[in-house]
Amino acid sequence: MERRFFLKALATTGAYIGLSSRGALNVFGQKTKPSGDYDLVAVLGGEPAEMFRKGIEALGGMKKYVKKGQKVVVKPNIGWDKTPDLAANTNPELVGEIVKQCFKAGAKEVVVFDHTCDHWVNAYTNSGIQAAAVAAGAKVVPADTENYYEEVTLDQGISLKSTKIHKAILDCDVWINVPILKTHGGAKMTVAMKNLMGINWDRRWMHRNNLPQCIADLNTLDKKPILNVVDAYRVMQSNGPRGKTEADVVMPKALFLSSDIVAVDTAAIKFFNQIKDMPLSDVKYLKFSEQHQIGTMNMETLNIKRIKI
Amino acid sequence: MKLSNARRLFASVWGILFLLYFLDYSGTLPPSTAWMTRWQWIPAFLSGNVLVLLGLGILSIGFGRLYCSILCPLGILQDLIYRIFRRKTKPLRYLAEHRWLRNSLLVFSALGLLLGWIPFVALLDPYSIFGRTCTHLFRPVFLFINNTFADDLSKGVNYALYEVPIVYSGLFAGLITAGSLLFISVLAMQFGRLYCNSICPVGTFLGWISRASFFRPVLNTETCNRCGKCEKNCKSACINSREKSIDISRCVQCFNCLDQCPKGGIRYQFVRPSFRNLLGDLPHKTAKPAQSPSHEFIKTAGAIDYPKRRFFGTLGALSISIPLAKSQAVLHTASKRTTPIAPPGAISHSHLNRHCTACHLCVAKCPHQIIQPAFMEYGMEGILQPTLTFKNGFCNFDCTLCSEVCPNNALQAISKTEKHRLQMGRVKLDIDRCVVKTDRTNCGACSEHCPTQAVEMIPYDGALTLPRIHPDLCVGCGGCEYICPVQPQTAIYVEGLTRHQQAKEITKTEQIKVDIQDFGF
Repeated sequence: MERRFFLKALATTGAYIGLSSRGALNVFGQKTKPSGDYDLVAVLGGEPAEMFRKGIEALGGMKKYVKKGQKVVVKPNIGWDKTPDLAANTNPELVGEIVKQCFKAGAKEVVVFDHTCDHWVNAYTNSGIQAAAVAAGAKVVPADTENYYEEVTLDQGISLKSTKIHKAILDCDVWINVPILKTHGGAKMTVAMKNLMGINWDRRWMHRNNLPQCIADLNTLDKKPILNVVDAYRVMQSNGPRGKTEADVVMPKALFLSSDIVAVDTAAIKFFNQIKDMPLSDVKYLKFSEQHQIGTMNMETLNIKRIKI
Repeated sequence: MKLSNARRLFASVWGILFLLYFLDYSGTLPPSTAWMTRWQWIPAFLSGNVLVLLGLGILSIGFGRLYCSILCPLGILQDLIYRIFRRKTKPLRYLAEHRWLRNSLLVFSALGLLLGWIPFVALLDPYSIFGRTCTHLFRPVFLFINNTFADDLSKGVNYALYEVPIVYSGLFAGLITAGSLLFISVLAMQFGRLYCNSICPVGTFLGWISRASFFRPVLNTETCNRCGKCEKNCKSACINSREKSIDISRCVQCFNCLDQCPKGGIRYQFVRPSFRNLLGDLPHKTAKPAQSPSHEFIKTAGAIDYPKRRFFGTLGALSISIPLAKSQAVLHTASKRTTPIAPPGAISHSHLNRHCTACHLCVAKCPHQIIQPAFMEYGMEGILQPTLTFKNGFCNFDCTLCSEVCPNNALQAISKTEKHRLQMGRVKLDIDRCVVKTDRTNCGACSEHCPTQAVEMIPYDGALTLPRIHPDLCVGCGGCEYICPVQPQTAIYVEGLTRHQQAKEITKTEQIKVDIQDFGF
């Protein structure tokens, strides 16, 4: 009896250690990835809020990412002066739901912003994100002038070695990256990694000095997003990132969640390949990011949960 | 209520609202405030606004130059300057009419309006002078204060109040504006409404109408004992207490005189207009010739040293011209553009030049602050008129604000649909300076911003993509020029058009329906 008990205990402990050692464990606060069961969750079908709820539940609940009393930033894509149906910005319903869940998990404050390409007042309003975020209790802040930003060094940067980052990111406890899946004229695809350009001040410099490398460099920022949520409810499949007409939009109704930003980008682009051809090798920042060891493109090594609604 | 107090009340409200209208960057004021800029003589004439012209005409025939006291923003500003800065030790007095000066300026202005040579009128139009003063002097000060407190007061995003970058509009506009204001202020401080009565063409024009006006201050020659109290308080210097007469062509209907006479000898009365009145008082001999105001001014200024003045004047003019030219270059970021871009609604350079009096309301209102005053870009016929620069932003595809606010209809209002097809300029590309070619790096910023994909990225070498332009599709918004990282002269830019055109319609492709059942990984 004692031996069986001992063996069982050994097996259970061993299994626990084995499972919990999965994923990077790092001492510096934000970098600590909660050891959940799944590395990536993909949801297909349903409406954005419902999809997020199912997705976050599968990851282990919002409480794994947002602790009580924390200051959180939810950073969607609000780049363009376009309405939600045109898929240029993140779905406002999704943003609203994420903000709501943050508060439910005990967040003290949730801040929402983006360094827009179009005029920020129009983009914030017409995207519907300002309204959705405020309705859920978030504080929406501008990001259109340089004084909102602070210089930060990127020690691992190859091209981009220092840059100005929005103070809301630097001041918060954790932040959630919420991009929308779109094609991109220069970078080929814009997903989670590229969404970090919205916390950055000088876009032109990045375009000038090897954009894909700069995107990868930017993602070596110490304060990495605790969670990435890729909105693929609507997807811009041509003429991205701004879009020309409604014909650029498709509605596959998908959602991808992961703390591994490279993994979630890889998953999203693989998903996109069902709509249009997009070889992963063309999206150079993926390769560069692996070199920085920010995450993995190798889907085989990931524990993935697939949910169909 | 005393008439003068009623006048002060109305003028204060009107003046404050007028200033606020120019300062309102978020569109918080009710839309009806836009009408204030349209109830102005020269804008109404240039925009062919018959309703307003009739209305103002009736007001003037009824009440003389009442417009000058309660509707003209520059008049209200002068009254304020006079009230605050007047030299209390030196009372006002009757001055002879600058007959030749004011009438010749009126003739030149009228010719300008009719023949389409507007810059002369632009420099003298009181509404436009006020507009430029608001845009280049009051607005930057206001924004400075606004930006200091915006963050604290708004606590998040407040769409009525937020930080607005202060954009430099060039030395030329600043100088003309400051110069005009200084000149008018000095006159106002010393003499009250001297500008209105000797230079302003609107004032002179109304002066002619007011000679036949129905209601006016009338001096009772029997009760009048020539005490001169009314004369000493007349901002228009039009009451001759010695002759017991009021020059109605210079009376701006401020009603101050009504309060002054201890015998109640000046009354606001109905006067039956006569043909003789229309022609004005015929010149007649007086016991003592009235001093001309210019002589008064020179006497107080001291002895004049002409050679020295000439020397410093020339030096001043020379030292200004170089920084002037340089500042305009800075404004346009050394863009390769050779033909200036006229804002949406301008129809053509010719239309703009013939209708714009450079009030700079469009400059103040543009959300991206890309409308800036020209120096010589349009030539002499377009100095100070608005042109687009893409240093600080680009023209939002959906925005038609400038065309909506222009009171002269120099920028004619266009709809959002019309704006989407409007071609103000055409894209040009220096492909050999594009970073994709020079550095073999993926950029694509230009195409990223293009609303019509008049510049698209095409496969170039491996995974690199190169921009290719389709000028027919271009609307001239400047998104590409704004974001192009090649400095100081961008590789892609917009060349202006002397006449706006229609951009080629975007071909609508069929919307793809996808039915994805799997994740793809």
